[in-house]
Amino acid sequence: MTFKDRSFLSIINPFSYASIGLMFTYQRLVSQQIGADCPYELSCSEHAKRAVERYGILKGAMIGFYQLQSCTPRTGYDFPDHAINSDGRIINPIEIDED
Amino acid sequence: MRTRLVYFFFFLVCFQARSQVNSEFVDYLVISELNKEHKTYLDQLTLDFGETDSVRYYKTKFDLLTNNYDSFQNEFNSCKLCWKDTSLINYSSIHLIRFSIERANKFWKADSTYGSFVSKNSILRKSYNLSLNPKLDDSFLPYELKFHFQEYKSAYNKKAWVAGLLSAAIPASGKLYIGRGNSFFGAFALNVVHGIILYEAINRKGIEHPYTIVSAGFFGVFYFSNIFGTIHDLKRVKNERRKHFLYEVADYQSADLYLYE
Repeated sequence: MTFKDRSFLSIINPFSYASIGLMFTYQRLVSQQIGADCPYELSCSEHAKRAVERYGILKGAMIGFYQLQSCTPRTGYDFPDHAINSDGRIINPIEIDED
Repeated sequence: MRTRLVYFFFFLVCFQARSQVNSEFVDYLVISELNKEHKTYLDQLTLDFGETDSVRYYKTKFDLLTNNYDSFQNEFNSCKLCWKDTSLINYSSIHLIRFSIERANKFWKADSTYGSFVSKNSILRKSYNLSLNPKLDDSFLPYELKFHFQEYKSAYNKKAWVAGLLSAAIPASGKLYIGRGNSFFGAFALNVVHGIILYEAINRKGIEHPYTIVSAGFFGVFYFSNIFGTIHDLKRVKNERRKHFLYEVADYQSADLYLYE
């Protein structure tokens, strides 16, 4: 994600950087230890990190937590075939594009 | 009579000599998946004969085969032979829509500008218009596709405020409304557990205790993210259903259509 793509609030808010840093720490230290196996293409932490970068801490955190609570063993059945990648993981882009 | 016969043989020999593309050889390259050789062959033809229409026609097909869409569109726009080939136009539309709906739309616009706009009568093009405005007449859709259209239409008519309101009233119930039923119980249970923890913390430790404040924070985050997320997810559901409908139409239309015979 380039600097221009990020929202103004995300750029000026120091809490955005702090939360991205926390996510980064979690991914490096905790996630690998618990052997997380995510049904999504972008894991919750990665998705939240990118969402905070893109939209700012408030909206980004909301999107991140929504994915966290949507994660169940049956989540994949909610998505059509074209939303599942070749590894069987759900494609979850940050931007909901119309294309 | 003798002169005509001489002319006939003269032209026969000339046309044989001017034959630019060996289509059987191209078919062999395609079947054998020899893309590098295929490209070299087409480049050599361009060097030998220049940018003629028939060479461009094969280059267009090659670009589509190798998913080189920018080059494909440029070649197609300047190829008169391509715009006369209805099956190639239909095949291209189907191929492009699977890659990007917007790119397929761009292709149809080019068809109306450079070609004779034959694609306007295709089911795919009509379905694209229908996906933009589901209130249009859908009688052209065959029986097999009606179900997918109804599925899209029901998602299209769903309101974001209803989804948000439902999620606010009963946590995660908005998920059932937008069609994400399989993750309903997980989200509902998570919210209920955090609600109970908060309730117990208030009752046992009081509202100003740090544990209660932390519990309230957790519950608030999950509760509000559930409302906001449902509204956000509805946009994605609509987009997914639209794509699904158009892909089904593309599959339906792609029967008996091949890029190379």
